[in-house]
Amino acid sequence: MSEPDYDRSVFVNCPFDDAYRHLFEAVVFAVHDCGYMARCALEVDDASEVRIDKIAKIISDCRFGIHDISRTDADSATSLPRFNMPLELGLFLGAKRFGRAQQKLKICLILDVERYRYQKFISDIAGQDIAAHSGDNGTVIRIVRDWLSSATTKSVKIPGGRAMSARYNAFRRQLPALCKKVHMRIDELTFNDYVTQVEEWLKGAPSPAST
Amino acid sequence: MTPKLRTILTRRRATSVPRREIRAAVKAVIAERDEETDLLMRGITSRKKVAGADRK
Repeated sequence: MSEPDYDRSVFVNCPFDDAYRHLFEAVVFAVHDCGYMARCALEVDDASEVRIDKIAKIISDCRFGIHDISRTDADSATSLPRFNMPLELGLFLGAKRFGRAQQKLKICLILDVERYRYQKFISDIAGQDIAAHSGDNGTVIRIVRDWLSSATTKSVKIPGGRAMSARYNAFRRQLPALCKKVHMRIDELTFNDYVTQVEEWLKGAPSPAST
Repeated sequence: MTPKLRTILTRRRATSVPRREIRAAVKAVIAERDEETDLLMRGITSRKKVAGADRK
């Protein structure tokens, strides 16, 4: 991966279940409206590749990482919590600590429902940048926007948080018609389908009036 | 130096529908937008603000 791609790629590590989907899609939209690219484990559909290798490759390709550790509830089927998100956060932090010079430039944003709740179940990450989204799309968009904005050179303008949130609402309004035109249903969209629609919509939509 | 608006990046992906079809669909859907959606696209959340700005 070339250096410019590394500097503008964001690894999104979050739950992929239906209950979280609205937040995941809002995060992906915000990443792209900031001028960055969202990457996640769902983008590769190669059964021959071991999952952890696939994830490690994507992490090594991304300077930025968004990690949502909010899913601490026990799985209804197994009565056990899922640990994939904290594991992938650990991989990301490990790459930053032990990787080569480029990997040491990694920056991460950790999300939870409440700001200090993590102290009860993963206190070792104290000192990292942890933000609370309260399960709200507008809030998570503003958090991601402000975080990426602070990492962006001053010569580049990024839409403001409220404007970005409004633009996401416009995109959601048009998504059903967009899917209909390509003979798909919203619930059938793969990650790659969704991101491509976001990219093309952002390229085709009028620019934000002010930032 | 005046800051320039960020550029939207794209990446080649294995999609269910070819990107050119998605692009054409986006173009058609955006062209059919109503006034309220147009305001939202421009990041404007309040009609009052727009009306107020027009009067100045």
